[in-house]
Order: sequence, then C-alpha cells, then structure tokens
Amino acid sequence: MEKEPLFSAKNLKLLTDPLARVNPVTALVLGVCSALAVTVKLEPAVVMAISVTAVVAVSNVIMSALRSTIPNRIRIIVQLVVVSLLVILVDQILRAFAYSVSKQLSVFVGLIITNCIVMGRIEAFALGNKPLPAFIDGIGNGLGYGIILVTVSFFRELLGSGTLWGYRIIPSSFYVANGGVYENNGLVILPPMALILLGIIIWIQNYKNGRYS
Amino acid sequence: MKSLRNFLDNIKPSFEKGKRLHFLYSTFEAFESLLFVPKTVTGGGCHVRDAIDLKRIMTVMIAALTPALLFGIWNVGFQHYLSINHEVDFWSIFGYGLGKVLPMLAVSYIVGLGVEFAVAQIRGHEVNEGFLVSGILIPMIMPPDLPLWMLALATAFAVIIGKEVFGGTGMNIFNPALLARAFVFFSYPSHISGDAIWVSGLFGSGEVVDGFSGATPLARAFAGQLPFSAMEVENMFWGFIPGSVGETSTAAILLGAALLVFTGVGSGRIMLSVAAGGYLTGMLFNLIGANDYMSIPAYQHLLMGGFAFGAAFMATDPVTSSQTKAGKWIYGFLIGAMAVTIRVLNPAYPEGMMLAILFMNVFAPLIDHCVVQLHIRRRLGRAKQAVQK
Amino acid sequence: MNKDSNKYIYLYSIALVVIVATVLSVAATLLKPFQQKNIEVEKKQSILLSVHKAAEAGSAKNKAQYVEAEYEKYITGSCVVSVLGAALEGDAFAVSLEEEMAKPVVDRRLPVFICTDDDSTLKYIIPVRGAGLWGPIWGYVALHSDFSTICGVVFDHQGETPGLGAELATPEFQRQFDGKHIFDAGAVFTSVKVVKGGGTQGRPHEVDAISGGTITSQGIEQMLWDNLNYYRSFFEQQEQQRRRLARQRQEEEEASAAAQQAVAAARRIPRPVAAPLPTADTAADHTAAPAARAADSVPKAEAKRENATSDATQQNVQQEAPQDVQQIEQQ
Repeated sequence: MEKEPLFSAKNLKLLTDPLARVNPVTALVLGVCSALAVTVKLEPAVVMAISVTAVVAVSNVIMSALRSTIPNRIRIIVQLVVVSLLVILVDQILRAFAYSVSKQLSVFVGLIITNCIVMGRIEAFALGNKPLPAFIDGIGNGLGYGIILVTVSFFRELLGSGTLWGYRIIPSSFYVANGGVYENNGLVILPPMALILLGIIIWIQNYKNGRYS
Repeated sequence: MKSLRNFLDNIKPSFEKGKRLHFLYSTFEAFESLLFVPKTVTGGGCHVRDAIDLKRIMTVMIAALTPALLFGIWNVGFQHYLSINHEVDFWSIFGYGLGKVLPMLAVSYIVGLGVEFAVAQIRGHEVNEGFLVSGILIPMIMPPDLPLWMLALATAFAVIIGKEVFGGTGMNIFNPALLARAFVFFSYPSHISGDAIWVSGLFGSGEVVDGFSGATPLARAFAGQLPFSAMEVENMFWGFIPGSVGETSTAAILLGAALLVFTGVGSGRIMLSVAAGGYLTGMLFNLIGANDYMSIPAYQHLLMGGFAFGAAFMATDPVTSSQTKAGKWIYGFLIGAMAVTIRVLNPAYPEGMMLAILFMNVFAPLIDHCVVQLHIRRRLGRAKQAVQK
Repeated sequence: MNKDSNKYIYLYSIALVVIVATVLSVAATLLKPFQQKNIEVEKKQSILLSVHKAAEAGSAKNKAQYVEAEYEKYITGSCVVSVLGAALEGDAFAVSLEEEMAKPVVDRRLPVFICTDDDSTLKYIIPVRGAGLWGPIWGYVALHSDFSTICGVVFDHQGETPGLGAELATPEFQRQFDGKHIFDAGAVFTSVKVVKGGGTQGRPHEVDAISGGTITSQGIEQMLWDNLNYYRSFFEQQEQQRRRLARQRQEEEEASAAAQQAVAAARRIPRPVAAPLPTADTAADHTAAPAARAADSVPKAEAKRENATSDATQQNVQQEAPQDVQQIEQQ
C-alpha cells in the first residue's frame, strides 16, 4: 500500500469532517455530559477542549501503533488503561500549572475517560488505521468537540455572567444593583439550559443540512 | 357585521396561493376565524356535531379566569397602598393595579402571539389559538413588579422551547405558563423569591411604613411564624394578601373553577384530587407534627400560595394532564401531595405547586399508559373467563 | 507468539501495567511540588484578602511570587490554640479545618494567623467553616487587635446557587463586614448576625442577609457564631497578656522617666522631653524579651513586634542623637 502524503485530501477530510458534518457532539451526540458541565465559562471550556483533543489524539496514536499487538480478549481493558494514563497525566499537569482552571474543572478532567468520543474514536478508527491518520482523526474530533464547547460557553458566560474569558463585557452600570435594569440570567449557568442550548445548535445545524425540508 | 364580512371577502383573494400576499396567509386566516365562524363544512360520511371548538374552550377559560384577574388587579393596588399607608378610593386602587397588570398582559400577548404567528408563517400552517389562554395565565402567576423584559423573555422561552419545538399547540409536554414562571424562577431568582417582591413598590426603594412586611403567608409559614390567626385565614380565603397577580383569592378562583366544571371544560376530577392530595398530605404531616410548619391545619395549605390557582387552572390543562379518568385521579392526587411535601420538607423552596405540576406533567403519559394497560389486562381476563364458560 | 494465547495475554498485561505505573509515578513525583505550591498560594491569598492585602493578584505577572511576597511581608506569625486558649504544637498553615470539624470541640486544633499591617497594628485572622444550603462554606475573618472590630472577611463555597447563596463570595457582600463588631460595649460576645435590614446604619453587630438566600445567610451566621466562639478563651488570654505587658511597660517608663529627669537635673543639660522614651523602650525590651522567650509561642509575635518597633525606635534614637548634638552645637 502506498504511503499517503502528509497533507493529502484524504487526511484533510479526516480533519475537517468532524468539525461540522460529522461533529461528534451534535451529529453523533457523544461527549454531551462534559459539554454541559464545563461550559459555564469560556476559559475552562477551552482548557477542557484542549485536554480532550490531546487525549483523543495521543490515545489514538498509541492504540493505532499497538493495534497489531493487542490481544482481542482484553482489547477494551487495554484501551481503558491507556486512556486513564493520559487522563491522569492531564489532570496532574493542570493541577501543577493551571490551578485555578483545574479547580473550576474539578472532577470533569478525570471524567474525560468517560467521554464517549475518546473510546468511540479508538474503536471506530484507531484500531483499524495507521497512526498518522489516527492522529489526524483524533485532532479533528477533538476540535469538533472544542468548537461546540466554545460556542455553548460563549453564550453561557455572556448571558450568565456578563463577562467573556473573565473580562467584563456587559458594563457594571447596567445592573440592577448599580441602578440599571439588567440582571444576569441565572438559568444559563445551570446544566439544563446548556442542554437546551445544545439542542438549539443541533436544530440549526439540521436545518442548514436540509433535514427539515 | 355585513360590511366587515364583505371587506374580508374582498381582500381574501390576495392571500391565496400564488398571489402577492400569500406569505401572510396564516395571519389573515387567524384573524378571519377569530371574527367569524369558518364557512367550511364537512362532506361525506358520518360526523358527530358539537357546539364546542377550540376557540370556545379558550373563551370559557378566559371567562373563568376573569374573577381572579379582576380581583388580582385590585389587590395589587390594595397591597401597594397598604404598604405605604395611604388611604385612597376604590378607583385609585384599581387604577394602580391596572397600570401594573395591563402592560404585563400586553407584553405577554404580543410576544407570545408574535412567536406563534411567526412560526405558523414559517411552517406554512394556520395559527393555533392555544396561546390565548396561556397569554392571560402567564402574568397572573408572576409578581406584580417583574421587569417587562424578563416577562418577554420568559414568554418567548415558554412558547418556543415549551411548545413549538414539540410541534405546537396540543403537542407540548409541559404547561407553558408554568414554564415561563420556572424560567423566571431559575434565571432571575431575586425577582421571584424573597419577601420584597410580592407587593408592588417594595423591591428597591419606596416609602414603606415601618413594620410592614411584604411576606406572603407561605413565606411566613416557611419561616416558622405560625400559627395563623382566624382573621389571617379569612384574608387568605378572600385574597387580601401579598402574592402573584392572580393567585391570592381562593374565592375568586372557586368561582372560575365552578364555571369550568359546569361547562365541562375543566376536569372536576383533577381539581378534586389535587385538593384531596394536598389535604391528606397535610393531615399526614399533622400526625408527624415535628415542627410548626407540619402542624398547620391541613386546609390552610389549600388557601396558601398558588395551590388553589394551580389546582383549578394549571393542573387541568387538557393537553398536559392525564387523559384517562382513573389517570386523572392519580395525577391530581400526586400533584397535591407533592406540592405540600415540597413546601413543608424542602429547605430551599417555599412554594411547591409549580414544581409539582411540572413534574407530574412528565408522568401524565406514563400514568395513562399504566391505566390503559391495566384496563386491557382486565378485559382480557374477563374475555378469557367468558371463553372458558 | 500467538496473540490470543493465555501466556501472551498475561505477559502483555503485566508489561502494560508496569509501564503505565512507572510513567504515572514519575509524573506525579515530578509535579507534586508545583501542585503543593499552588494550593499553598491559594490559601495564602485567601488569608491576605481578608486583611485587604494581595488585591492585585489577578493582574500580577507572577501571581505566586506576588502572593508569597505579600504573605512574607504581612503575615508575621501564626499559632495553633485549643478551645481553652492553650497554645498547641504545630504549624497553623497545615491545619485542615475540615478535619478538625470532625473532632469533638475539646480536641480541635484552632489556627490563628497574625498579620502586621503597614501601620504596625496587629490583625488576627481566623479560619471559619460551616454549612450553606447545598454544601460547605468557609472563609477567613480578620479582626483588629481589640479582637472585636472586623477588619475584613473572605468567604467561599462549593455549590451555592449563583445569584443567591453564591453572593457570599462577592466583594460587595464581604465588604459589609468591615468595621462590624463581634463583642458589644459590655464585652458580651454577639458575633455578627446576618439578617434582613442589617446593613442599615448604626448596627455594629449585623449585616444585610443575601436577598433570596435565606438558608445560606443563616448558615453564614451560624458559622461565624460557632467558629468565633471557639476562640474566645484565646482572645481573653491575649487581652490579659497585653494588659500585663502594657502595665509593665508603663511602670518601666515611669521609672526611667523619673531617673532621666534626675540625671538631667544633675547635668543641667537641656534635653527635649521626648528623648527619654526610646531608651525606656530599649530597657523594656531587655526585660521583656527573656520573659517572652520563657513563655509560649504567641508572645514571640509580641516580642517580634516589640523588636521591630524597638529596632525602629533605636533608629529614632540614633537619628535623634545627632539632632541633639546639632542643637547643642547650635547653642
């Protein structure tokens, strides 16, 4: 089999497909729980997206490299061990170098292993493909997940706290406490509204893809 | 009337398919059927004829809500002037209340109907009149001073996410008016909980007399300031207490409930079972009697807060309640029981009615399913017995 | 080797586990110092915030360095006391309030942090912990040296409702506590009540409750009452100690003032009356320091402060001496 050049059309498709058409969160509805929990503010959402992308990509590469050596009977266990290793590493690194964000993310970094995107991509792609395409696929899915996280957290932070990335967007003078008429919306900070926002995104995406005509 | 009919007949052709104003067909059709009975008749086959249609049901419901609404408007003014200790005449009181409630009604209808019309245009079908009742219900369960933009957001949320997403009128799972209140409850909690918002003018500043507390009886029970005196209980029945715009007067609500039961528009079964559920649970807590709140006489639960209003107008919503007769008994009983339980046991929520109804809305289809299955099994059993004989 | 044979599976699993465990242990060990540091810096920041220091931590280039420097500068002592006021061994910073709350009150180790402000006054910072509506709430209360006036507070929570209970973490709510008193004029312990309308003028023992957050407000009130109550013996002991030292110093001042006047009268050199004070302090310092060393750790802070002030006054003496010489020369 001939080697695929690094930036071939096929590899590019691996990268771009999960961004919109086959987005893991909105099209495959994977990884929704963490998408609800960490998107209260923009900063933890971005950190989470980067963490998940790293985990998916690296675990894809490792599993792809090992794919010919793994005994079939313990396949899932091996996946679990490898992904747990990466997740714990990410958690430790965050706690050492990005403490305030890791506090906001709290248990959800450890729960990356339960994110269906990770094991889903390993099973569906990495175990049957070479390491390089697996890596690109991992990056693509991670980015697709990241786009959704950023979108949801953009609205949640803006409407729920009046800030973006910690910087005040809605001026303090607008607020009722300071003599104005505006209040932050407390519902968007709660997970149910995040789910509704996600539903609206899926709604818009389906509408654009012509599902409703 | 004739000239109006002629006018409509003249402009009707421009809304037909292919003509200039076809994209506004739904709007035209909505206004036409609001003003006149549609001329369409049935053709072929057997039909059961009935005088009642969706529009007439809505009209009866609005009529039933009118006593509570009128009293509520008066009460808003009454509580306000009580708080600042002004003696004014009846019309000033009513005028003040009108000045508060009319904008809320206007916003509710404009936003809600606006969304309904827009959706109908986009989907290309007729406008459903389902919002006519929700539009009047939403302001009646809100505090009088709620900022209008919050009301608008809540109404839009209720109509879009509560109704249209599921398919429009008749397809919703949750009671839209309660969804609007739930939206405000969780989004802007300081504007719908606490003691400062149930009397108009209390939130923020205002020349309130010393010693006036804007606390509703429910809030006082929640804080343990019990028991209620006989006069306070009387006030709770007639409605001279702080609260949401329409929910205070049990007497006015009973009038409306009677009309609903008499016309068959509202299910008497549900109203009775909600009351029974609340009353029996109240008695159960009386038996336990661990604190003051548990020991209040069970009937007072029916008078406090939104219990009566919810039982008569929210729980009986035909779309979201159980459809089977036995199901209605179970559904209503559980609503009453849950509402009182949340009130007495939950440390965070003084009022349990909204949450109880929304929760049981989810279970209503399940209850119906179980009831139907039970019936089927029973009939099967009877049929088997008959065959054996 | 056959991939699906038992032998292969065992060997593979063992190899995988060993490699993974090694990688994780190495990583954890390497990263632990950083993680510890982060937790410490966070705690120090909270402590400093209660005395209104370290306010620029958010915009500081190196947050850890900034917080550490502020902590070094302002927090000049700490101690652990029992509920009876007796000093206990140990590092106050390492005490975990969560663990202590699980013990019976008599066994608890209560930490106190002592801050020396820019104006050389002492502030005492007390960690508090309690229960909100949905989870624990905690924070630090900083008291002025009269043990009654609150300098500032810092609160945090785990799961309170945003907009309601979570308001306790906002600067607006916390600022209310500045200047409130936990003892009334008759030295009766009142703590600070969190009630509706408490924010109005003239209520030194009340702050405004959180609108709509009744349970959380009650939780804060209970937390303050319980936690500050435990330290009352400590406060009393501190007060007694201070009065004793103040009396000592006064006596010595009077003695040395009389001696100085006698000397001055004998020498007939006009000296400004203010000059004797520094020497009296250094004299007191000599007597106080050995006494302090013999006592427990808290007076060390007092002695440290006295050392600090006497260092300053010694400088004053040195400064004043040339002035005296100048004056004499001018004459």
